[in-house]
Order: sequence, then C-alpha cells, then structure tokens
Amino acid sequence: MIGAHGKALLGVDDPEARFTALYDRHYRSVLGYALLRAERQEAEDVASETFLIAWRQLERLPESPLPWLLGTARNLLRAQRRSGLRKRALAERLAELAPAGDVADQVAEREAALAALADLSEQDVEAVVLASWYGLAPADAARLAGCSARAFTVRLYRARRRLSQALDLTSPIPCGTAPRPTPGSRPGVSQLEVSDERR
Amino acid sequence: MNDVDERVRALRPDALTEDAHRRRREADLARAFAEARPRPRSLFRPTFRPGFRLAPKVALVGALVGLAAAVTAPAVVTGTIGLRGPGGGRTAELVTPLAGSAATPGAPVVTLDARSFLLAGAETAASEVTPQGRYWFERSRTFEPVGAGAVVAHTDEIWSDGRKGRSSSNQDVKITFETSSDEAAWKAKGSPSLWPSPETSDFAMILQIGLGAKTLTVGEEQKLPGDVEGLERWLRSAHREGPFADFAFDAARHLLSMPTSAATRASMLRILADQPGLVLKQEVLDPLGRKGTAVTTANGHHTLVIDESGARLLAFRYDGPDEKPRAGTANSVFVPIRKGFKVAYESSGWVGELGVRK
Repeated sequence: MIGAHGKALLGVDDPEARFTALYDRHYRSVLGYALLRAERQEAEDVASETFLIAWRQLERLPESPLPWLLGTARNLLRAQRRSGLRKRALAERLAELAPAGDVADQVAEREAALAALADLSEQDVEAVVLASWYGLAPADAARLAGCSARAFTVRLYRARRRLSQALDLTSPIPCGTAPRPTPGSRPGVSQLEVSDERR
Repeated sequence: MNDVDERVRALRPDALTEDAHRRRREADLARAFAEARPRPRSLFRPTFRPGFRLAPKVALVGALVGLAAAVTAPAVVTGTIGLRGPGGGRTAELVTPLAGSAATPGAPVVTLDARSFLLAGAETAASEVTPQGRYWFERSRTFEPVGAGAVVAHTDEIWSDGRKGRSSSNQDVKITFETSSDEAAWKAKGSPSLWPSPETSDFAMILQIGLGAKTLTVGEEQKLPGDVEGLERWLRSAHREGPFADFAFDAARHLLSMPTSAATRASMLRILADQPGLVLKQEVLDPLGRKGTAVTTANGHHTLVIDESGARLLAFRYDGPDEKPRAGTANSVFVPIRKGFKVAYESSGWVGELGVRK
C-alpha cells in the first residue's frame, strides 16, 4: 500500500493501521450480512460490535478474516435476539434491501430474481447469497450456514440450477451432474476477490 | 462467475452499506482505539519506522532478497563542508530549530545556502567506499506521536541478510506528554499501555521498502542509478502524488540510510539540492543531541538533519498533516505517520554475524 508520501509497508505491525485496513475492507460485507437478519440500526450496531471484538482479537484473526467476521456477526445476532425485525423469509428481506435499479431492464431483472428466490427454500437462498455476495469457499460458508461443506455444496448447486432455470438464463448449469471444480480453480476465491476489493 | 451469481449480487444493498461505512467509520475506529492495544503477535513483529515492507518468504519465491534496514552512509566524515559550493544563489534562511532540538548556545550564525550544503555533501558521499558484510545492521530511535498529547520513543535494531535476520523491537520505551494535563488525562484512564513490550526474535522474511509506486529489495537498492538523471527519472516514475520535493525528501531519508551505492547517495543529495525553496538551519541538535544541519522543504513538511559532512543522515522529522490510515492488502499495511514523527539513525553498517553491532 502506498502512502501519500510514497511510503509502503508489508507486514509492519501497527495494530491501528491493520485494524483500519480490516475495517475498510470488510465493514460493508459484515453489515450486508447483518442486514439480512436485523433491522438497519441493529445491524449497524452488530457490525460495530463485530469489529470491536475483532480489535480485541486482532492478533488471533485468521489470514482470511471475512468468514471469522461473518461468524462473529452471526453469533451476535443470535445472542441478542432483540431484533425488531419480525421473522421473515430471507427472500422477503432481500426484496426490502435490494437496490431499486435505475432503468426498466434493471428493475425487471431485479423483480425476476427476487421472484425466483422466493420459490427457493430458506437454506438454498442463504447458500446462493453467501456464495454470490461474499464468494466464500464451501467450507467457510458451510460453517456460517451451520451445515457440512458437502451439504452446502448441494444447496448451492441446487439453488443455482433452479434460479438459472427460473430466470431462463442462457448458460444454465448442466443438470444431473454435481459441479466440479476445474483444475487450478478454487470455488469462491475469485468471487471473494471481486466482492472484497470494492471500496 | 455465472449469471445467477451476478443476478443475486445485484440485490446486495451496496448503497446502504456504503452509507453506513461513511457514517460509522470514525466512531467505530475511535471506539476500538480507545481500548488498549491488542497484544502483539508472538511471532516476529517488527516495528520498523514507516517505509518498510515485509513479505513472507513464500510470497516472493524466486524474487530478489529484500533488505529492510535503513542505514546511514558510511562514516567517512571529512571535515567541514565547503561553503562555496557550486550553484549557490538561493537565499539562505534560518529555520526554527527542530522541536526537541536546540541551537547550540553561542554558535555563530552562519547563513548557508541549502543547495551548496547538499552539493558539498554529495561530493563527500561520492568519494566513499561502501563496505560489505553478511548482515545489514541498523539501530534507530523513533519518536512517534500516538495521540492525546503522548509521544512514544522506542529503539529498534535489525539485522538482515535479505532473507532472514533478527529484530529487536520496542527497546527502551519512554513516553512523554506535550502537557501535564495530557499526562494527567492518561493517568486518569489508568495509565493504559501505549506501546507493545520489547521483543527480540529471529525471522525469515523478505524485506522491501516501498517508495511511491515502486518497491525495492536489497539487490535493487544497490542497483539504483548512480547518475543524477537516471536516479531522478527513477524517482519521478515512482512519484505518484503531492509535490515532488516532498516525495524526494521522503525518498532521500530512505535512500541515504540504506546500503545504496555511494554514487546513488551522491545523486540523491544533488537531486535534493535542486528542489526549490529549501531552507537550511545550521547548528541544530537532532533528537539524540547530535549536532547537524537541518534542511527543510519549502512547505516545512519534511526535514532531514545531516551531519557536518553533508553526507551522513542523522535524523528525519515529519511536520506535515497527520497521514490518514489507508487500507492495505493481504500482505501489506500502510502505517501513517503523524505530525511530529521523528526518527534518528543511530548506527548502521554491514556486520558478519547476527547480534554484532556497528
């Protein structure tokens, strides 16, 4: 990272700088996850609390901290249980949160996607959201979802196939075969880089 | 990536999260930093002065070995500088002595052109012979403002052969406060720790320094251009933002304290001499009480304290606005410095064994 005066550091142990970088990199993702389970104010409080815990645990965070952060946010949401958000389906919550879209095509695509998600099971919606929003590897996403990696992979595959069919996309995932990673590919990694690099 | 994921990703509430990030960031960071610093890592945790990059060995397999330690130029001090150096003509100004420094009492007031001083130093630097050794050693004492009127001074040592070495960090930590009320406020909070504990550990890590858009390993440092035109071309290609003079001064404090060639150091001093509006103050004391000459950029943001030979860097001081934290990458972190940051280069040089000092 290059500084205003050309300074850069790799690995220099300044906790405040490292924490600031962690916050800037992952806050949006953590809040986005919390918003699925809580009203806005509470979700923001949960995100703040998550990062306060991260500060205390800064020296023990894993190299890829996002799954840890999301897991902490999940635990806080479960523990607090004071949400004003009535229990509702993830698809319904997504419909409330989704950007409106600027043009007719975007609005139509948004509505079609939400309608297709509404027909999926809660678990399948969660699987496809975790994968597409955060690009989590199956093992990490499975821990968040509270299932095995194998079960998560099945959910994700099923959800993507059904959504693809419902949305009549031109490149549907082949039916009848489980998705297999190609040599050298790591499911989720490229997505993680995409979703996490946004500032 | 497939269309399904793209459709679902389009539902992500980015505008909401972006807005919240903007609104909550300052308070969230302040809330965290109000607590004690987290305990440092048990593994190697260098606390070098800003400017160093440490990369895990595996991250740069096949790459040149880096060298971290900043180093003062070899101590070939050859008496006083020539006051009639070439290219004079800029009016010399005296600047306020560095905070923490004081003009030597009774010293004669001599106005000297900053350009002449630097050019004379370049002549000295160019004539030096760079010694060799296995490990580059540096010992520095850093004075870091940490907020709330507190300044932490700490001494750090490093030995590095580029691939591995030893770090001795956070030695002789001393905390001072700008005012007694600052200190009282700190004590009222229970005198929380402001700095990690001393630690010495061996490491296997490639060290690099980043200068603007470029990075330097030890091998690259030694291969920097030795001519003015070549070095300035390199610096300008690395320069990314802000006045070039500021960047040149910041680069100088690194290049003058590294195992760069004598020709590179001399060229660096000549490039500095060409920066407009430099101000010079003789007979100042650096943060360690050593006598030197201060050369400051026109805007006053960067000051180098150089010994009387004009070739040996004693200290650096930053008086610009506090740098803002920036996001890092997986292997990097930007460490901002605050106004008043100072580092004094105590000793450095090549040594044959770990633990041996110059």
